[in-house]
Amino acid sequence: MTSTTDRDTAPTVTSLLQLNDDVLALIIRQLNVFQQYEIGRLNRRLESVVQTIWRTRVRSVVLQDEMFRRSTATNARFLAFILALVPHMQRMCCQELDVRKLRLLSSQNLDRITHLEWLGDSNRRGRVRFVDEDVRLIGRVFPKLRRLKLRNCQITGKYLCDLEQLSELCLDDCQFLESHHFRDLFRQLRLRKFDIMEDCDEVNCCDLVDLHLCPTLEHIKIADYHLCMESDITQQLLRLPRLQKLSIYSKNFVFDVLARIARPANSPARAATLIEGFRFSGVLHDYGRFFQELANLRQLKRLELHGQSDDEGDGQGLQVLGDQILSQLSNQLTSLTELRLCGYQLESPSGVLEFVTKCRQLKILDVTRSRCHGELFVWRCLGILSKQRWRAEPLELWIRQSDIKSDIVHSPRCLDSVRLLRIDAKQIGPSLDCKSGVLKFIFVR
Amino acid sequence: MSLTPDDCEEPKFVQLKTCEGFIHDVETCLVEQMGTVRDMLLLECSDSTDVIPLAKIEWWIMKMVIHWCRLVQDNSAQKEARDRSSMFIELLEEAKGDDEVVFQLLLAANYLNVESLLDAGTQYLADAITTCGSAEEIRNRFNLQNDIPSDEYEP
Repeated sequence: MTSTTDRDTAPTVTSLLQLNDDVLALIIRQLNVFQQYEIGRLNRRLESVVQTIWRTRVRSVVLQDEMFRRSTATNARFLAFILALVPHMQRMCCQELDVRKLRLLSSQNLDRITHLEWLGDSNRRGRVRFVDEDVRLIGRVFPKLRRLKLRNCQITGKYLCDLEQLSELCLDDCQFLESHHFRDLFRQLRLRKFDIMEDCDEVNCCDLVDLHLCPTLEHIKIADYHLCMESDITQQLLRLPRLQKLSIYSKNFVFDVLARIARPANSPARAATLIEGFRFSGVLHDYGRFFQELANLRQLKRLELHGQSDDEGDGQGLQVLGDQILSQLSNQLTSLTELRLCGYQLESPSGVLEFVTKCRQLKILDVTRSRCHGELFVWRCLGILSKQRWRAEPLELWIRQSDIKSDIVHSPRCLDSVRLLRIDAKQIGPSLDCKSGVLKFIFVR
Repeated sequence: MSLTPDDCEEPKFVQLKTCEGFIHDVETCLVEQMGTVRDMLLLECSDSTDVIPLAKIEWWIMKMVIHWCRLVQDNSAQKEARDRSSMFIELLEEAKGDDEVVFQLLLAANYLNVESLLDAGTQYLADAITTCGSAEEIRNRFNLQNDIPSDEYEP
């Protein structure tokens, strides 16, 4: 509908610019960042709106090939787009982007960017690959890079040691890594985090025998075969002075890995006493043996176990934790302050409640997704707590998605006992990234 | 916060006057969706027989906004963005609306703070921009005046 004047002059042209800046911003925010750039080139006002959005919203940018598939997305335009983004951008993620686009930046200096993720296409056919020379390019173009993640790249690792400012390195599904390049990497870089855990090809993966040469490491994620390829590096890892978290992915050797780290005979002096947290998620068929090894971590304060159903998705087939093995474990791990047994079927409440009796510092008991025999668990827990005259703070019991009904929090008995037991039916535990088969050790520092 | 406190007799309609002086009688439950009007009434501690002036809104647009609010209320289960997008397209097709209608609706939604209409309308325009094959096509489609010299962008 157009408006006309009384003198019947030419009608006013309908234009997007009739909208105010607030509405234009709402529209433009729904476009991808390259579309935003293109629309900002069309008109001063739109440019101003885009700049206002970019001032706060493009610190982290994801670039994908499909964003540039229009015929007008020439190389010159891509380069101009990146240069326009650079004043605002600190983190760049390239998802299955054509590596030739990255190479267009080779003469640029983008020193504001500190985080880079290059997530290559797992479908390798016909694609130009990210290779060693591209690592050199990254070193030139992003001189202040602190965090780098490379996935599905065809690199040997040759030039990674040239990334002098790097403190976090993640290598995922890079099948051509060569072990001898890692010596320089670990000696020259002051890495805080190193992650090579996910999808390393077991046929051609690298030996990390020199990992201990990097004394600045705080977080390490590796697979079980990295611990003992040519030689066992477990002892050296446990001696790293700043180590805070050690995650080890294991498909078939969970007990072996745990024994290497937890048994006092195997670990360097005091190493087992330094481990204050342990987390595991996965399916095990011998929890008795698992708990035997775990019991060696006498100073453990936080224990987190996530069971998985044998039958996926239907809520049935939860793994059973027997009372006897739980009771035995409670005798050993008396320093626990947090105990999370999520997604299990308890033989009866007795086993878990032994921890309430014996762990005087226990503050959180998390039975999310577990089958605990319902309200009986709560009443028996209260019975134990009511006798603990030394207890200064209530025990928190997390029951979300368990077989304890959430309305129990409103029961008179629970309301009267809130200074002993505080039931939380809403919280989910802190570990959202519970990848199956990962043993995570957290160290006291 | 509702417009109808429990201890008051519930008023059924609110009168909204558009810029031409036309008065629309709008059910209170629909006015709840118009944040600006809702807040005005709450601040006034309403005697809802007052007429609310809406100087920036034309009568035909107000009619469409009311129709939208009724659609949203009647289809309250359909809260997904794509369902609201479909409703918005149906609204336009019923009114045989073109871009001018869309723009006026969005300006009204922005003024009246009808969040659902704003979301659906901006999504509609964002989708239209995305379907354009080139920047020039966007320019032609939406009549954007070119006031940036070309050498400012080309490296």
